[in-house]
Amino acid sequence: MTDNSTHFGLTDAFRLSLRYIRGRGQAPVNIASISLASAFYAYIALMRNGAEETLGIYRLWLLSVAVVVAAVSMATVMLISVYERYREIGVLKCLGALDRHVFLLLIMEALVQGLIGGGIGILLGVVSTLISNSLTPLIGVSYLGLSFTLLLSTLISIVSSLYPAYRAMKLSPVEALRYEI
Amino acid sequence: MRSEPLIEVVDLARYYDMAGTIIKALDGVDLEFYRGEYVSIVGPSGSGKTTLFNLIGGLDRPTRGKVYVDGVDLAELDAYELAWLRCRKIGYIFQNFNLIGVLTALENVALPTVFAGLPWEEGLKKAEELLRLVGLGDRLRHLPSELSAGQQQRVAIARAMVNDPDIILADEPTGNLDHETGRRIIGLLRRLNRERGVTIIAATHDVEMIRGSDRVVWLRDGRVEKVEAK
Repeated sequence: MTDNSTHFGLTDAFRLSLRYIRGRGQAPVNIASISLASAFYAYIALMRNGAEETLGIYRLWLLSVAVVVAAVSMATVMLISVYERYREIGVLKCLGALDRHVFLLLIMEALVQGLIGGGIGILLGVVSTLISNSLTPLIGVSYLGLSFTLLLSTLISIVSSLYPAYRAMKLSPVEALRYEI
Repeated sequence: MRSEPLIEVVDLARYYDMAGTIIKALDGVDLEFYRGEYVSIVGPSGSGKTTLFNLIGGLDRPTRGKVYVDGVDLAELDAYELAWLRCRKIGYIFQNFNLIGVLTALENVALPTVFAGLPWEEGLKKAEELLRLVGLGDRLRHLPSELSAGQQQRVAIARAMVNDPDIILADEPTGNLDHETGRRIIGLLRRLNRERGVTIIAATHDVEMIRGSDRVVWLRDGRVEKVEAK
Protein backbone atom coordinates (compact mmCIF):
# COMPACT_ATOMS: atom_id res chain seq x y z
CA MET A 1 0.00 0.00 0.00
CA THR A 2 1.40 3.40 -0.89
CA ASP A 3 1.60 5.49 2.19
CA ASN A 4 1.14 9.07 1.21
CA SER A 5 -1.73 9.86 3.52
CA THR A 6 -3.32 8.88 6.81
CA HIS A 7 -5.70 6.07 7.70
CA PHE A 8 -8.91 5.80 9.68
CA GLY A 9 -11.06 2.82 8.77
CA LEU A 10 -14.54 1.68 9.74
CA THR A 11 -13.30 -0.34 12.74
CA ASP A 12 -11.27 2.63 13.98
CA ALA A 13 -14.30 4.90 13.61
CA PHE A 14 -16.49 2.33 15.36
CA ARG A 15 -14.06 1.99 18.27
CA LEU A 16 -13.71 5.73 18.79
CA SER A 17 -17.44 6.35 18.36
CA LEU A 18 -18.20 3.81 21.12
CA ARG A 19 -15.85 5.67 23.46
CA TYR A 20 -17.59 8.94 22.69
CA ILE A 21 -21.06 7.45 23.08
CA ARG A 22 -20.10 5.91 26.41
CA GLY A 23 -18.13 8.87 27.69
CA ARG A 24 -20.42 11.77 26.89
CA GLY A 25 -23.78 12.81 28.27
CA GLN A 26 -25.60 13.42 25.01
CA ALA A 27 -25.90 9.87 23.76
CA PRO A 28 -28.77 8.85 26.11
CA VAL A 29 -30.78 11.87 24.95
CA ASN A 30 -30.31 10.88 21.32
CA ILE A 31 -31.09 7.26 21.99
CA ALA A 32 -34.22 8.21 23.94
CA SER A 33 -35.63 10.39 21.18
CA ILE A 34 -34.84 7.85 18.48
CA SER A 35 -36.32 5.03 20.51
CA LEU A 36 -39.56 6.94 21.14
CA ALA A 37 -40.10 7.55 17.45
CA SER A 38 -39.26 3.99 16.53
CA ALA A 39 -41.37 2.57 19.36
CA PHE A 40 -44.26 4.46 17.86
CA TYR A 41 -43.51 3.02 14.46
CA ALA A 42 -43.14 -0.51 15.84
CA TYR A 43 -46.46 -0.15 17.64
CA ILE A 44 -48.18 0.90 14.44
CA ALA A 45 -46.52 -1.90 12.48
CA LEU A 46 -47.74 -4.43 15.03
CA MET A 47 -51.30 -3.08 15.23
CA ARG A 48 -51.61 -2.89 11.45
CA ASN A 49 -52.92 -6.43 11.23
CA GLY A 50 -55.86 -5.31 13.35
CA ALA A 51 -59.10 -4.15 11.86
CA GLU A 52 -58.85 -0.43 12.33
CA GLU A 53 -57.77 0.48 8.82
CA THR A 54 -59.58 3.80 9.03
CA LEU A 55 -57.05 5.05 11.53
CA GLY A 56 -54.27 4.56 8.98
CA ILE A 57 -53.91 8.16 7.83
CA TYR A 58 -54.27 9.49 11.34
CA ARG A 59 -51.52 7.19 12.61
CA LEU A 60 -49.28 7.99 9.71
CA TRP A 61 -49.67 11.65 10.55
CA LEU A 62 -48.77 11.03 14.18
CA LEU A 63 -45.83 8.93 13.10
CA SER A 64 -44.40 11.63 10.87
CA VAL A 65 -44.68 14.13 13.71
CA ALA A 66 -42.79 11.73 15.96
CA VAL A 67 -40.11 11.22 13.31
CA VAL A 68 -39.66 14.95 12.74
CA VAL A 69 -39.46 15.65 16.46
CA ALA A 70 -36.85 12.91 16.91
CA ALA A 71 -34.83 14.14 13.94
CA VAL A 72 -34.83 17.78 15.08
CA SER A 73 -33.89 16.79 18.61
CA MET A 74 -31.10 14.54 17.37
CA ALA A 75 -29.75 17.23 15.01
CA THR A 76 -29.70 19.77 17.85
CA VAL A 77 -27.97 17.45 20.28
CA MET A 78 -25.40 16.38 17.69
CA LEU A 79 -24.68 19.99 16.84
CA ILE A 80 -24.13 20.79 20.52
CA SER A 81 -21.93 17.73 20.78
CA VAL A 82 -19.83 19.00 17.87
CA TYR A 83 -19.55 22.49 19.40
CA GLU A 84 -18.43 21.03 22.70
CA ARG A 85 -15.80 19.01 20.90
CA TYR A 86 -14.38 21.79 18.74
CA ARG A 87 -10.99 21.52 20.37
CA GLU A 88 -10.87 17.76 20.25
CA ILE A 89 -11.80 17.79 16.58
CA GLY A 90 -8.96 20.26 16.02
CA VAL A 91 -6.64 17.93 17.90
CA LEU A 92 -7.73 14.97 15.75
CA LYS A 93 -6.82 16.99 12.68
CA CYS A 94 -3.46 17.86 14.23
CA LEU A 95 -2.80 14.18 14.78
CA GLY A 96 -3.47 13.40 11.13
CA ALA A 97 -7.25 13.08 10.70
CA LEU A 98 -8.57 14.06 7.29
CA ASP A 99 -11.89 15.85 6.88
CA ARG A 100 -13.57 12.64 5.81
CA HIS A 101 -12.23 10.82 8.87
CA VAL A 102 -13.96 13.34 11.12
CA PHE A 103 -17.15 12.99 9.06
CA LEU A 104 -16.98 9.21 9.27
CA LEU A 105 -16.53 9.33 13.05
CA LEU A 106 -19.67 11.41 13.57
CA ILE A 107 -21.78 9.39 11.14
CA MET A 108 -20.62 6.25 12.91
CA GLU A 109 -21.73 7.72 16.23
CA ALA A 110 -25.11 8.46 14.67
CA LEU A 111 -25.38 4.95 13.23
CA VAL A 112 -24.64 3.25 16.55
CA GLN A 113 -27.06 5.48 18.44
CA GLY A 114 -29.69 4.88 15.78
CA LEU A 115 -29.33 1.11 16.09
CA ILE A 116 -29.46 1.17 19.88
CA GLY A 117 -32.42 3.55 19.82
CA GLY A 118 -34.17 1.37 17.24
CA GLY A 119 -33.60 -1.76 19.31
CA ILE A 120 -35.05 -0.14 22.43
CA GLY A 121 -37.88 1.22 20.29
CA ILE A 122 -38.84 -2.25 19.09
CA LEU A 123 -38.94 -3.52 22.67
CA LEU A 124 -41.09 -0.57 23.77
CA GLY A 125 -43.34 -1.04 20.76
CA VAL A 126 -43.87 -4.73 21.49
CA VAL A 127 -44.54 -4.06 25.16
CA SER A 128 -47.04 -1.29 24.46
CA THR A 129 -48.80 -3.41 21.84
CA LEU A 130 -49.08 -6.25 24.31
CA ILE A 131 -50.48 -3.90 26.92
CA SER A 132 -53.06 -2.37 24.61
CA ASN A 133 -54.07 -5.87 23.47
CA SER A 134 -54.52 -6.74 27.15
CA LEU A 135 -51.53 -9.05 27.08
CA THR A 136 -52.89 -11.45 24.49
CA PRO A 137 -50.00 -12.85 22.51
CA LEU A 138 -49.39 -11.16 19.19
CA ILE A 139 -50.61 -13.19 16.26
CA GLY A 140 -49.37 -12.68 12.74
CA VAL A 141 -46.69 -10.19 13.75
CA SER A 142 -45.20 -8.42 10.78
CA TYR A 143 -41.51 -9.07 11.24
CA LEU A 144 -40.82 -7.09 8.14
CA GLY A 145 -42.51 -4.07 9.71
CA LEU A 146 -40.49 -4.59 12.86
CA SER A 147 -37.21 -4.75 11.01
CA PHE A 148 -38.16 -1.58 9.18
CA THR A 149 -38.07 0.04 12.62
CA LEU A 150 -34.30 -0.39 12.68
CA LEU A 151 -34.01 1.00 9.20
CA LEU A 152 -36.13 3.99 10.17
CA SER A 153 -34.19 4.67 13.37
CA THR A 154 -30.78 4.59 11.67
CA LEU A 155 -32.11 6.71 8.85
CA ILE A 156 -33.42 9.39 11.23
CA SER A 157 -30.17 9.27 13.13
CA ILE A 158 -27.86 9.54 10.14
CA VAL A 159 -29.86 12.10 8.16
CA SER A 160 -30.14 14.43 11.14
CA SER A 161 -26.41 14.09 11.83
CA LEU A 162 -25.33 14.98 8.30
CA TYR A 163 -25.22 18.71 8.92
CA PRO A 164 -23.47 18.50 12.33
CA ALA A 165 -20.94 16.06 10.86
CA TYR A 166 -20.38 18.40 7.93
CA ARG A 167 -19.75 21.29 10.32
CA ALA A 168 -17.24 19.21 12.25
CA MET A 169 -15.51 18.12 9.08
CA LYS A 170 -15.13 21.67 7.74
CA LEU A 171 -13.73 23.00 10.99
CA SER A 172 -10.33 24.62 10.55
CA PRO A 173 -7.89 23.18 13.10
CA VAL A 174 -6.42 26.63 13.77
CA GLU A 175 -9.85 27.98 14.72
CA ALA A 176 -10.72 24.85 16.62
CA LEU A 177 -7.62 24.92 18.78
CA ARG A 178 -8.17 28.55 19.69
CA TYR A 179 -11.75 27.83 20.71
CA GLU A 180 -12.55 28.07 24.42
CA ILE A 181 -15.70 26.69 25.98
CA MET B 1 29.72 21.66 9.44
CA ARG B 2 25.98 21.88 9.48
CA SER B 3 23.90 19.82 7.12
CA GLU B 4 20.73 20.89 5.37
CA PRO B 5 18.23 22.48 7.72
CA LEU B 6 15.31 20.28 8.75
CA ILE B 7 12.96 23.23 8.64
CA GLU B 8 13.55 26.34 6.62
CA VAL B 9 11.30 29.37 6.91
CA VAL B 10 11.71 32.04 4.22
CA ASP B 11 10.16 35.52 4.40
CA LEU B 12 7.15 34.03 6.12
CA ALA B 13 4.16 36.30 6.66
CA ARG B 14 0.61 35.72 7.83
CA TYR B 15 -1.89 38.56 7.94
CA TYR B 16 -5.37 38.35 9.40
CA ASP B 17 -8.24 40.55 8.43
CA MET B 18 -10.02 41.41 11.68
CA ALA B 19 -13.14 43.38 10.74
CA GLY B 20 -11.29 45.52 8.20
CA THR B 21 -8.08 45.93 10.19
CA ILE B 22 -5.11 43.96 8.91
CA ILE B 23 -3.30 42.19 11.74
CA LYS B 24 0.24 41.21 10.84
CA ALA B 25 0.70 38.15 13.04
CA LEU B 26 3.90 37.28 11.21
CA ASP B 27 5.64 39.75 8.95
CA GLY B 28 8.67 38.43 7.11
CA VAL B 29 10.37 35.81 9.24
CA ASP B 30 13.50 33.93 8.10
CA LEU B 31 14.60 30.99 10.24
CA GLU B 32 16.37 27.67 9.98
CA PHE B 33 16.06 24.74 12.33
CA TYR B 34 18.51 21.85 12.28
CA ARG B 35 18.04 18.20 13.08
CA GLY B 36 18.43 17.42 16.76
CA GLU B 37 18.23 21.02 17.90
CA TYR B 38 16.32 22.28 20.89
CA VAL B 39 15.13 25.78 20.09
CA SER B 40 13.05 28.10 22.24
CA ILE B 41 10.85 30.73 20.65
CA VAL B 42 10.39 33.60 23.04
CA GLY B 43 8.22 36.67 22.76
CA PRO B 44 5.27 38.44 24.37
CA SER B 45 1.82 37.09 23.63
CA GLY B 46 0.71 38.23 20.20
CA SER B 47 4.27 38.18 18.88
CA GLY B 48 3.41 35.44 16.41
CA LYS B 49 4.63 32.26 18.12
CA THR B 50 1.47 30.24 17.65
CA THR B 51 1.03 31.52 14.10
CA LEU B 52 4.56 30.38 13.30
CA PHE B 53 3.79 26.93 14.72
CA ASN B 54 0.55 26.67 12.76
CA LEU B 55 2.41 27.45 9.55
CA ILE B 56 5.31 25.06 10.23
CA GLY B 57 2.79 22.33 11.05
CA GLY B 58 0.85 22.97 7.86
CA LEU B 59 -2.30 23.80 9.82
CA ASP B 60 -2.52 27.21 8.20
CA ARG B 61 -1.43 28.73 4.88
CA PRO B 62 0.90 31.77 4.81
CA THR B 63 -0.01 35.10 3.23
CA ARG B 64 3.52 35.27 1.85
CA GLY B 65 6.73 33.28 2.06
CA LYS B 66 7.66 29.62 2.29
CA VAL B 67 8.06 26.81 4.77
CA TYR B 68 10.26 23.87 3.81
CA VAL B 69 10.23 20.73 5.92
CA ASP B 70 12.98 18.31 4.95
CA GLY B 71 13.38 20.23 1.71
CA VAL B 72 9.68 19.96 0.79
CA ASP B 73 7.73 23.16 0.17
CA LEU B 74 4.56 22.86 2.26
CA ALA B 75 2.66 25.01 -0.23
CA GLU B 76 2.96 22.19 -2.75
CA LEU B 77 1.37 19.57 -0.53
CA ASP B 78 -2.32 18.70 -0.80
CA ALA B 79 -4.60 18.01 2.18
CA TYR B 80 -3.68 14.29 2.21
CA GLU B 81 0.05 14.92 2.26
CA LEU B 82 -0.31 17.62 4.91
CA ALA B 83 -2.23 15.18 7.10
CA TRP B 84 0.55 12.67 6.61
CA LEU B 85 3.12 15.31 7.59
CA ARG B 86 1.22 16.19 10.76
CA CYS B 87 0.82 12.54 11.58
CA ARG B 88 4.31 11.17 10.91
CA LYS B 89 6.76 14.05 10.91
CA ILE B 90 5.45 16.42 13.55
CA GLY B 91 4.29 15.95 17.12
CA TYR B 92 2.28 18.64 18.88
CA ILE B 93 2.27 19.60 22.52
CA PHE B 94 -0.11 22.28 23.74
CA GLN B 95 -0.33 24.52 26.75
CA ASN B 96 -3.63 22.96 27.82
CA PHE B 97 -2.64 19.39 26.94
CA ASN B 98 -5.64 18.80 24.65
CA LEU B 99 -6.09 15.14 25.42
CA ILE B 100 -9.24 13.37 24.26
CA GLY B 101 -11.45 13.29 27.35
CA VAL B 102 -13.22 9.98 26.70
CA LEU B 103 -10.02 8.01 26.05
CA THR B 104 -7.66 6.54 28.65
CA ALA B 105 -4.02 7.65 28.81
CA LEU B 106 -3.07 4.54 26.85
CA GLU B 107 -5.70 5.12 24.16
CA ASN B 108 -4.80 8.81 23.88
CA VAL B 109 -1.21 7.92 23.15
CA ALA B 110 -2.18 5.14 20.74
CA LEU B 111 -4.61 7.30 18.74
CA PRO B 112 -2.03 8.85 16.34
CA THR B 113 -0.80 5.35 15.43
CA VAL B 114 -4.27 4.64 14.01
CA PHE B 115 -3.87 7.52 11.58
CA ALA B 116 -0.38 6.23 10.79
CA GLY B 117 -1.94 2.94 9.74
CA LEU B 118 -0.74 0.74 12.60
CA PRO B 119 -3.04 -2.04 13.86
CA TRP B 120 -4.70 -1.01 17.14
CA GLU B 121 -3.04 -3.70 19.26
CA GLU B 122 0.40 -2.68 18.03
CA GLY B 123 -0.40 0.96 18.66
CA LEU B 124 -1.42 0.13 22.23
CA LYS B 125 1.84 -1.74 22.76
CA LYS B 126 3.87 1.18 21.49
CA ALA B 127 1.81 3.59 23.60
CA GLU B 128 2.46 1.53 26.71
CA GLU B 129 6.22 1.63 26.11
CA LEU B 130 6.14 5.40 25.75
CA LEU B 131 3.98 5.92 28.81
CA ARG B 132 6.49 3.88 30.80
CA LEU B 133 9.27 6.00 29.33
CA VAL B 134 7.61 9.22 30.56
CA GLY B 135 7.01 7.64 33.96
CA LEU B 136 3.31 6.85 33.74
CA GLY B 137 3.47 3.07 33.60
CA ASP B 138 1.00 2.88 36.48
CA ARG B 139 -1.56 5.26 34.96
CA LEU B 140 -2.33 3.50 31.67
CA ARG B 141 -6.08 3.06 32.23
CA HIS B 142 -6.73 6.49 33.76
CA LEU B 143 -8.84 9.08 31.97
CA PRO B 144 -7.34 12.57 31.57
CA SER B 145 -9.75 13.88 34.23
CA GLU B 146 -8.21 11.43 36.69
CA LEU B 147 -4.67 12.70 36.11
CA SER B 148 -2.84 15.74 37.46
CA ALA B 149 -1.83 18.54 35.11
CA GLY B 150 1.77 17.36 35.01
CA GLN B 151 0.68 13.79 34.28
CA GLN B 152 -1.62 14.98 31.50
CA GLN B 153 1.26 16.84 29.90
CA ARG B 154 3.35 13.68 30.10
CA VAL B 155 0.61 11.79 28.29
CA ALA B 156 0.57 14.56 25.67
CA ILE B 157 4.34 14.24 25.26
CA ALA B 158 4.06 10.48 24.83
CA ARG B 159 1.30 11.06 22.26
CA ALA B 160 3.49 13.54 20.38
CA MET B 161 6.32 10.96 20.30
CA VAL B 162 4.38 7.85 19.38
CA ASN B 163 4.81 8.04 15.59
CA ASP B 164 8.54 8.79 15.94
CA PRO B 165 8.32 12.31 14.53
CA ASP B 166 11.38 14.33 13.47
CA ILE B 167 9.99 17.48 15.02
CA ILE B 168 8.05 18.34 18.15
CA LEU B 169 6.26 21.67 18.23
CA ALA B 170 5.51 22.61 21.81
CA ASP B 171 3.34 25.68 22.35
CA GLU B 172 3.95 26.90 25.92
CA PRO B 173 4.17 23.36 27.29
CA THR B 174 4.76 24.55 30.84
CA GLY B 175 2.31 27.47 30.72
CA ASN B 176 -0.35 25.71 32.79
CA LEU B 177 1.99 23.97 35.21
CA ASP B 178 3.47 24.99 38.52
CA HIS B 179 7.18 25.68 38.68
CA GLU B 180 8.36 22.28 39.88
CA THR B 181 6.12 20.28 37.50
CA GLY B 182 7.18 22.55 34.66
CA ARG B 183 10.82 21.84 35.43
CA ARG B 184 10.23 18.10 35.25
CA ILE B 185 8.43 18.47 31.91
CA ILE B 186 11.35 20.49 30.54
CA GLY B 187 13.75 17.85 31.81
CA LEU B 188 11.71 15.18 30.03
CA LEU B 189 11.65 17.11 26.74
CA ARG B 190 15.36 17.72 27.00
CA ARG B 191 15.96 14.01 27.63
CA LEU B 192 13.86 12.97 24.63
CA ASN B 193 15.75 15.51 22.54
CA ARG B 194 19.11 14.06 23.58
CA GLU B 195 18.25 10.38 23.65
CA ARG B 196 16.00 10.17 20.62
CA GLY B 197 17.39 13.03 18.57
CA VAL B 198 13.98 14.61 18.05
CA THR B 199 14.11 18.28 17.11
CA ILE B 200 12.18 20.36 19.61
CA ILE B 201 10.84 23.82 18.95
CA ALA B 202 9.16 25.26 21.99
CA ALA B 203 7.35 28.55 22.42
CA THR B 204 7.79 29.70 25.97
CA HIS B 205 7.99 32.45 28.58
CA ASP B 206 9.74 30.09 30.92
CA VAL B 207 13.29 31.14 31.92
CA GLU B 208 14.05 27.56 32.82
CA MET B 209 13.19 26.44 29.30
CA ILE B 210 15.23 29.16 27.67
CA ARG B 211 18.24 28.23 29.76
CA GLY B 212 18.17 24.64 28.57
CA SER B 213 17.92 25.32 24.85
CA ASP B 214 20.53 25.27 22.09
CA ARG B 215 19.24 28.45 20.52
CA VAL B 216 16.72 31.09 21.44
CA VAL B 217 14.70 32.97 18.85
CA TRP B 218 13.21 36.24 20.08
CA LEU B 219 10.03 37.28 18.28
CA ARG B 220 8.40 40.68 18.50
CA ASP B 221 5.46 42.00 16.52
CA GLY B 222 5.72 39.22 13.98
CA ARG B 223 9.42 39.67 13.29
CA VAL B 224 12.60 38.02 14.54
CA GLU B 225 14.19 40.42 17.01
CA LYS B 226 17.32 38.36 17.59
CA VAL B 227 18.61 34.79 17.55
CA GLU B 228 20.82 33.77 20.40
CA ALA B 229 23.03 30.67 20.33
CA LYS B 230 23.72 29.13 23.72
